[in-house]
Amino acid sequence: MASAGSGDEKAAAAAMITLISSDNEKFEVTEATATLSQTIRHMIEDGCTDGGVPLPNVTSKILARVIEYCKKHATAAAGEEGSSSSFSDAAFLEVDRAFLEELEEFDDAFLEVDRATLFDLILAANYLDIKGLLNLTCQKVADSVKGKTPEQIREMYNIVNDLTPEEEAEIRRETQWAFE
Amino acid sequence: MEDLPEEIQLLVLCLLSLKDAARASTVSRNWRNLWRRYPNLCFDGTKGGSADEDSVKIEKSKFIETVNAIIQQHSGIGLNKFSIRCSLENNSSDHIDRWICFATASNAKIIDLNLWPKRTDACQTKNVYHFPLEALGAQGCSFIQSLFLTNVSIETLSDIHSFTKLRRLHLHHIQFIGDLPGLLSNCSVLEDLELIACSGLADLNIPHQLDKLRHLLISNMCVQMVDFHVTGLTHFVYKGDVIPIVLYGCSKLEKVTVTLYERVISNKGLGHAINGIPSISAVKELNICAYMQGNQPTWFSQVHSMGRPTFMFVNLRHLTCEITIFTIDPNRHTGIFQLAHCLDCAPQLETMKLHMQYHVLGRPCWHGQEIFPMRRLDHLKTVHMSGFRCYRPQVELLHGILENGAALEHVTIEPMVTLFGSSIANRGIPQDEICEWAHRTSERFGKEITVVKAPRQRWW
Repeated sequence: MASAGSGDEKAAAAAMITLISSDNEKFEVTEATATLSQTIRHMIEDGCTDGGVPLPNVTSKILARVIEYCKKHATAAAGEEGSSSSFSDAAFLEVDRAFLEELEEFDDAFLEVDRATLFDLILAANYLDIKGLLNLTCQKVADSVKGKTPEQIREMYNIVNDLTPEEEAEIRRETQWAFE
Repeated sequence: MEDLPEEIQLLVLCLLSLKDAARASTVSRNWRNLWRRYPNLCFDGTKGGSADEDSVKIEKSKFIETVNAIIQQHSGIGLNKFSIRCSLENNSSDHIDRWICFATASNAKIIDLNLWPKRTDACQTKNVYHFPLEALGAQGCSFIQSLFLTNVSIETLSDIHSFTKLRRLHLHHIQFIGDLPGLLSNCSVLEDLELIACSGLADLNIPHQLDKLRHLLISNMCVQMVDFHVTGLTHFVYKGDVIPIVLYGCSKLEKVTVTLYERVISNKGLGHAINGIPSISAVKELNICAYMQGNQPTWFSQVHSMGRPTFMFVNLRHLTCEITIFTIDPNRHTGIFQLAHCLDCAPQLETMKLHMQYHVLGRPCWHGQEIFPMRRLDHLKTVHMSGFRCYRPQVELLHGILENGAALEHVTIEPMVTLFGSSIANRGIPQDEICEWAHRTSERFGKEITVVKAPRQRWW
């Protein structure tokens, strides 16, 4: 295999994609990793990835983290593609439990970032259309809001209360059931 | 947070529970507007218990008022699921009408209306809410993907064209006006159909193809026959009387569960499950639950009067049977020999689990050496029998399996009855005698038999 001819070398080269961050740093990733991003998947399908994919909205710091996520999850996705039937019990059995647990631990550790980074990751996930990462990061934000009072939420995210006292009173009355 | 794009703010809000989202809606004008597009409005007005993950518990006395208020605030945009779980009084139908109108006008993908959440109620409410199926087509387009209805009446009109996107339909305790074929005639993409305890239907005879149907559950339906054309079916569950069941063309069956009741127990249940539904012959995993009674004449005439199977379970890998037997003389009751016939016509069988419960106490173990005649079981690896008390048919059946099972790896017997409601049946088990029998039988056939002993730790 190692002594492959030029044809194989080409195939191997074709399977790598270069991503270019906003600050012009280049990242070489496999196609399997890159195509976790629907945005990049479409670019590959359209054949416009030669010479690298410029990502003007994503800094190298964030892109490095995003790639870290995609690398880990690309292997998981490869396993899932094998099982087409959602009703099949056998498919569930095939899934490696230990690997799923490891993936969960990875996700938890991955989310240990400051708020600014978290928001940057959300924006990157949204721009690159990486569903898993977008859900993961948004869930982290949602979890931070859970069980908090409106005052606490405003304080946490520097949100200005632009409701008039009358409006607020009315809304509070309408939403009383949620505070019981 | 406010700098994030609106669609992401909405996504964050969607990830909150209904209650948390409502609380967050009081934060600012922006959040108020986002709240008006919250996608899953699921209300649970039942007492006690905890709400489902995506629904909010609301006290029954404030239920109508609260639902009305939330619906009034909602823009109707982006509604995914609308769910009501509450036993409401008859005079609430105007409110329910308005809610259904809201859900349909908002093109909700999932509508779940359960007006009978107390499952312990023995009888149905007399005057049930009439669910307006026609409302689902009022927009002139079809949007509904999942429709779950419990304890309502529906009138099925054959010209309902609003079900062309319907994938899941659960009808529980429904009073039918009209017929089911009329309702299903436009459900060409239906994947999942559940029918539980519905009234007003004489039979379930669906003449047209339901090619996409994969999951079919029929339970406690007082019908004369079941007749479907379901070429893609993978899961089939039937619970009810012994009636003719025909499922045309289902060659992809993965799993079938059949539970048969008989008003007068006639011992036909098990035989019917094994022998009476040729349509399920392609199944890989078969679960049977049946009842038997022991007022039959003599031992041998019974064994020989059992009909030979008319078809083969060519793909069957896993068989589980739960059998409850009412007899005063378990040593003379031959009902479970019907399973030997099932084994004979399942050449690929790998696992057999047989859970038995005899409604009798303290009958002696059988020490005979007879072997029930069976065919070779070339693939059978695992056999587990619970409620095994060394009664004659149990002993002879297991002898037959040990004699013919060349590939057997694990044979386990469990004297304990593991079926539901069996605490009395587990008193006074002659455990030592059964262990001794297992030991002798192991040596005779050269195959190890593991005895699962009545665990004292059960009470720890």
